[in-house]
Amino acid sequence: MLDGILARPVRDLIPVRDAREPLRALIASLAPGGAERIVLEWLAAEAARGRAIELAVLHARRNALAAPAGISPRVRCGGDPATFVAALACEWRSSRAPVSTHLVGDDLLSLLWREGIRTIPTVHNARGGWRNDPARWDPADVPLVVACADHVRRELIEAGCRAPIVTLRHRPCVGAAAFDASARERVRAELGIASGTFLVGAIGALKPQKDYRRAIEVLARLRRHRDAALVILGGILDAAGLEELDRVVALAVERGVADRLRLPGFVPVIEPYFAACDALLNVSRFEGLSMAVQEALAAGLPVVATDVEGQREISHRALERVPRDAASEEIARRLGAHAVRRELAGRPWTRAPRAGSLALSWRERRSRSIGTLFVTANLNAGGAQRSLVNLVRAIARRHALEVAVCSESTHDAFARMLQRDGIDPFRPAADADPVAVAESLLARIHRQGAANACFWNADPKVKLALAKFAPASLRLVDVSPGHYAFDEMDAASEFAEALAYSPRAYYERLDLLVLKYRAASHPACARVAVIPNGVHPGPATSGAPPHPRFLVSGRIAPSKRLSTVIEAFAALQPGHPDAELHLVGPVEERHAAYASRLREEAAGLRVFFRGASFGFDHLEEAFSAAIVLGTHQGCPNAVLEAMAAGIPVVANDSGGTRELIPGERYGWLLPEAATAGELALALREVIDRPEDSRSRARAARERVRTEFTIEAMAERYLAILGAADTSAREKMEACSFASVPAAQPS
Amino acid sequence: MDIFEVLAFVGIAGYLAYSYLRRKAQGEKAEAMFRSMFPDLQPHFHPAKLLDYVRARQAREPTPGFPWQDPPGFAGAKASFEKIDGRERVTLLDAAGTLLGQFFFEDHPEGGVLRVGQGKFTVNTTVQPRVRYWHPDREFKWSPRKGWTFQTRVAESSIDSSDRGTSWSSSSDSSASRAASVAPFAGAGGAFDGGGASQAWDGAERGGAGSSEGASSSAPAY
Repeated sequence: MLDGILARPVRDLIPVRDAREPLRALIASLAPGGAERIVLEWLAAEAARGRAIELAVLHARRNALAAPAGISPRVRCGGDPATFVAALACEWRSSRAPVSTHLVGDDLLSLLWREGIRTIPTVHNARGGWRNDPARWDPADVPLVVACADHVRRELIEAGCRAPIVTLRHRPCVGAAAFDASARERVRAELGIASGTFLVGAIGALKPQKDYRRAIEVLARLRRHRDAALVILGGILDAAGLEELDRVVALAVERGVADRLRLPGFVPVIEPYFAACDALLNVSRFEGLSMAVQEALAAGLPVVATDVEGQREISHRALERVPRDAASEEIARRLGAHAVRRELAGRPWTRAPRAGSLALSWRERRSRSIGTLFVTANLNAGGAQRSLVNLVRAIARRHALEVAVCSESTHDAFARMLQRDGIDPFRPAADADPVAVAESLLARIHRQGAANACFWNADPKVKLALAKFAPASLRLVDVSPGHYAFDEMDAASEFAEALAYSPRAYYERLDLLVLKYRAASHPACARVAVIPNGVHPGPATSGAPPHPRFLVSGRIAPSKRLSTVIEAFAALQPGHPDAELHLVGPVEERHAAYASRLREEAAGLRVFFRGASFGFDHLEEAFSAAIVLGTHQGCPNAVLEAMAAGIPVVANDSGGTRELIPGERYGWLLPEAATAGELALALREVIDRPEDSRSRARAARERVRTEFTIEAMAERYLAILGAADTSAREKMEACSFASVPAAQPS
Repeated sequence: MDIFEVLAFVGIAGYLAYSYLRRKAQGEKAEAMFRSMFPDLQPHFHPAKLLDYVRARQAREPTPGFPWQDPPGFAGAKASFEKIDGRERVTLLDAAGTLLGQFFFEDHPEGGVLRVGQGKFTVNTTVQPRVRYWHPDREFKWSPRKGWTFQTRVAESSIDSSDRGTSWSSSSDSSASRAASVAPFAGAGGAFDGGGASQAWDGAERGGAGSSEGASSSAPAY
């Protein structure tokens, strides 16, 4: 039914130039801990997508987390750590990408630096748990530092870290077993916990900072009021841990709650234990960012935790923070307010475990070879794409640029136009995955030393990921095609939160927001410029048609309000049986059902679905008027092109359309929510008053010729892109990455 | 008796009382570790009880269909016996007929073997009585004289705990348990320590601090 007009992705249209490299990570061990879990979840997610990964482990552990499928860790099993790292350095020095390091001391890192290998250390702990001296990190060796939480980032700055620091709050993966009633029953049976017993979980290695003796005191007080037990999921790592175990058990005996204590140790799969528990208790003296707390919250458990730094960055209604020095009685009272769980329901976080890859996008700069990297979603038939093609073709000879196309395109016309002009668009990754796309773009930006990255109708997730990790020297420009871009950005808030970012932080990071018209509202941004589209003057229409002919040019999409147009045309046709309506534009697969419905609505009418047209041939035909209805319009090319061709325009007052048709002299401007009746009335006027129509068309054509040319648009963009004064940003303090507190999952 | 003799007597008595109380507390702590690490064996399968039972069982040949009231080690229970595939299955019931536990008993040159679920007790009733427990996930050894040696997921190495204190053990664990303790990741997880469990490892390699036997015994195999 949609033969000839349905646009399907054109395979292999645009070459893929993926700047990503294999991921390399070095970690102290795979002991069951939060840091280790972060690394493995990150690499597991990448391995699942077929990414090449090299994981090196300094110390073998018996109670170790196993590497995920697709990853064969290289574990040191002989020789000293320095020899092991030196051997790694020999192998890795040929790579251009840095190495992600976790809990590895500076002495060993220096062996990598000596071979010219850059490292991106992740700091998993609050200051009390550091094993490095961040003040010693030379940005030449450590181009970026990842902090597990904002307070850790602040501590790094206070400690004199000179390298840029980015905050990444990892959100753990929680499997279905955490909500499984049968798992709850099984684990409670194994632990000897009766169904009516309130089971409190505490997670983490037995070490003084976890303050499990305080947890025992809490249990003792809780026991005064109810049947309760405490299970500590974690074990001993060293001599201090053994002493702590001794003290914890001694206190349990002393307080008469030894029979209510369970010590299963480092359990291999923790989800069933979440199912078994009724609450999580975390009385740590300090925390980087507790994975256990986040995981328990995702598993649907209430959490009572001391108000230490790492907990403050977790926002969740089921998290109750108590003062750091709160009495055990108070903590017990808080726990006691919760009931033994009868129903299990989780609230998994929106996660971005692969964000760790973005941190590895740093590359040594070769030379400045591009001024602007334009980033667009696709080169489909659309107004935004057309205006981008118009612009880059106009400025390519005056401004070094590249065009990155993030996903498949459904037509080859725009890509071919660019290629004919010597502009070689490329795909940054083989698929449209925003993390992969952003990582590849960032690597390219670093390597090419790009001055500007200009988003032009790009996926908001790509924009967020790229902006979060963009080097401070990069100027970010977002050309908004219309208000819907802001809505799309808001809709990506959860993804942003998973990156420890936000739409607001994104707009704050932007150097320039370009609007296509003087929008009454837009996000707050440091600088805003208004640059309307420009079009070629083009050939003039061949004049008035012998019978009423109307043109709608643009994608067949709900936002174009084509049902209203067909309804208006249907109302018109009884008086003008020879009238025709020509719909020139493709149907994307996602709108196929919509197009089918339109065809049904148009049945029996002289409505012609003509498919895409990338040239201007259709504008040379004789039309009574071009109809342009839309929602959240920017600076509609369909209006400009019809005006340039001398075709009278009937449009609704959406977005920037009023700036193109500022009065009746230039066309018909209907209310934004124009009804089919109002549109039909305007079309009748067009038919009944041909001279008036032609007069308006002539004025409109002149208006475009003087005010909306491609050259005018190009000059304005060159003024902002060419004047890329990077010095201001380069002088900014190194720690320029922003993040915001994590919000609870929806 | 002069004043010095009195003071010496009081001092010695005080020291003995302190030692007694301390050993008692240490012993209670060791028992608490057993209960917290092996909750599935509570309250009936304490090795001291099993030692009593096996000793009594060696002296008596049970008859299927004729229960044993109040068998040593399981006071208050009634043990009934069945032959299942040639093995002796023992069912423990309380006075109300509620199931307390069930195990298979086998004769063993050292004394006897009790199989409880996935676990296996080997009870040695010879001159130096002792009990070993093996389970795919955890093990212990116990003797009235030496106390406990635990090998569980709580620690990489075995832990000794008795009325003399808690320390790393020099005894080894079974390879089966070691293999079982390597956790499958499966995208699901393990216990956290919220700040990098690796944190302690360099310290452990340097020998650690404060352990009665030093942390080097817990160092991984390189």
